[in-house]
Amino acid sequence: MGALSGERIRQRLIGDLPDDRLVVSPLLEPDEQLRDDQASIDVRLGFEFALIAPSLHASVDEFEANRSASASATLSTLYTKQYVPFGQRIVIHPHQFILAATLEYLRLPKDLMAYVIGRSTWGRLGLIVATAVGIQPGFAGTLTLELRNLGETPLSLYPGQVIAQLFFHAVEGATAAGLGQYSGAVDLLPRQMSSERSHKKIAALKSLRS
Amino acid sequence: MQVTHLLSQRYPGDLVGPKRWLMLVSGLLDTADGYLSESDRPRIAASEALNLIRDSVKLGTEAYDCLAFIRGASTDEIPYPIAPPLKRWFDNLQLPNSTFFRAELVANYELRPIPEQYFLGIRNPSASLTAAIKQVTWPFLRVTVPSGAFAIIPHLAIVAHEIGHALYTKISWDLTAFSAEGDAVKRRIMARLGVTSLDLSTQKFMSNLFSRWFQEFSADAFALYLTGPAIFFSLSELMQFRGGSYTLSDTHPASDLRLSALYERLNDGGEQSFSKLFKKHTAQELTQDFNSHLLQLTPNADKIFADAVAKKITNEHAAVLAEVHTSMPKAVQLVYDHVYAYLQANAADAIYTPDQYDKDLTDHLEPMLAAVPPIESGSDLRRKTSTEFATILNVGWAVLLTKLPDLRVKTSGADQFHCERLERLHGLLLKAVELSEAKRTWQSA
Repeated sequence: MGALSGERIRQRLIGDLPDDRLVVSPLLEPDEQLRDDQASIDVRLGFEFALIAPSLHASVDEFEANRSASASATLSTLYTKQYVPFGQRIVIHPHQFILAATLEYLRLPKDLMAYVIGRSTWGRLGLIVATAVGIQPGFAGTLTLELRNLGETPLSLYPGQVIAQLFFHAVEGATAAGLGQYSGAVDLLPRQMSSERSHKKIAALKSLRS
Repeated sequence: MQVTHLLSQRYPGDLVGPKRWLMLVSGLLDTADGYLSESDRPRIAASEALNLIRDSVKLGTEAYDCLAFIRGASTDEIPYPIAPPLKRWFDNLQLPNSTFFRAELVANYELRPIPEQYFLGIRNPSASLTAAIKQVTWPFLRVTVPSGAFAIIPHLAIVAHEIGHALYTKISWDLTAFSAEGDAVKRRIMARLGVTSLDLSTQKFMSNLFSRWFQEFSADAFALYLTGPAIFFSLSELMQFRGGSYTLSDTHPASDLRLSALYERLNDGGEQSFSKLFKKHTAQELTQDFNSHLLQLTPNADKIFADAVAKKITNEHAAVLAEVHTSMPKAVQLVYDHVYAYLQANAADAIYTPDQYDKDLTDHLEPMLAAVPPIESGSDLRRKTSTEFATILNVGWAVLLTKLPDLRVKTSGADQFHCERLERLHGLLLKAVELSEAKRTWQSA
């Protein structure tokens, strides 16, 4: 299946049935962010940012952390959050890595998935916008963008700036959308690295080696 | 140094209130510094120098107390997006006072006005203090809300009650319709005490009691007209949480009486009443004790009197408490009518109507269960409007009280008591507040 056209995206945004409707909200400038002659919708930088503090940890190792403690609490210690309102900026320095939330809240129906792709203008300045680009059917929440400045110049980022674009694809044979770990999530910090089952398996394998 | 650091911090909504307050503190410290410099003046008398040093210490202590007064006002305690919609309530109701919000970890809401006089009469005030005083729209208002687990978004409807307190004196109260009942109360008090007249102290206590209880009913009425059912649910939870015995005091009328007054008005309007609409959308009957089953009901006047006397309250005051309580239902309608008339005349757009409630639950309840927060309303992409704070509160309560297990968010398998869902609901509602405000801000730029 191909990507949805701008016109099809518009139709999905105004669908009658809540379960079938695509939600990207709020669209501050709908005519700019969604154009019939394009096959994507633009999303903006939100207000929440998380800066990683690498010096606090020798390495991020989910098997060294106390599993009985909340995995998300452990992972969240890696970051310092910063709230940047409209009109103010955050500067991303060369080779710095930060997490950023999209301004728009997104919900995908069960028959759509999406890719988030950085805008080429930012790319030409050296800014990589997202490394985990796939968004699963049923996702609900704000998107977390993984920003990295690969350029040699600091870049000022302002909430409300268009930062990325979403391309939507129909999912063939979709019958139900599951609840991913970030379903309904509005916090940009990571929660867990492996599922409970995978974690147990790898931990067991690790103990055999030690 | 500490004040400079606090001034550089971010406060919820970047409202100017906290910084205005800190400038007052800074002005006090500059004044204290001025006293110290003055005490160093050559050839100053020792006694005068000592007095200046003492006054400087006093002012320093005063400044420290003022700093403590603002504890809990940072974005660590109150999420950044919460303050603007709360402040807009103040603005829409023509309360231009300098205001800041702060949170503390207790289930308590309070509006504390600080009069200008608090900072006046200081000898040789610094230029910075004089300027800071001039920048404030007096009285300064400090609004306390709970933090942490007590700060689930829907509960913030109670802030509308606190705003009601600030508006009480703006209403031209005409209580002549209540004067006959007032006389009847006096007669019943005298009969209970076996006297033929009331002494001045008892009369004064009665008058103060009427005034304070009227204020509480008035504040409840403001909150009802600003937030609809949300205040009923919020107060029910708060009052129930406080628990213990029935809650009748010289500052607050009985909790069940206040809830009954709100409940009665939620039933006004027949099929289009708030309570009927609540049932239409949630399939649950709205009862007076819907979320306050544990609240102890107030007994009859004889028992109130006996309980008060048992608590070592004087017979006179006990009789006043019992008989004024009995008369209150007759005052309630009068109070609500005054508040409604005031709002109609001064801020009609701020009134939350049953029609709006119907629309809000129609538009947002089902989407909310699918984890889509009430950010904006309308279907035309170009004409969508930001939701109001009252909408977010009411959608939140409807989910919280009737649909929480149906909220389709990811939780761990151990969420037996829906604590994680509650946390997610709070997060989604906070996102709704943030993004509806973002849209509003963007459109106004």
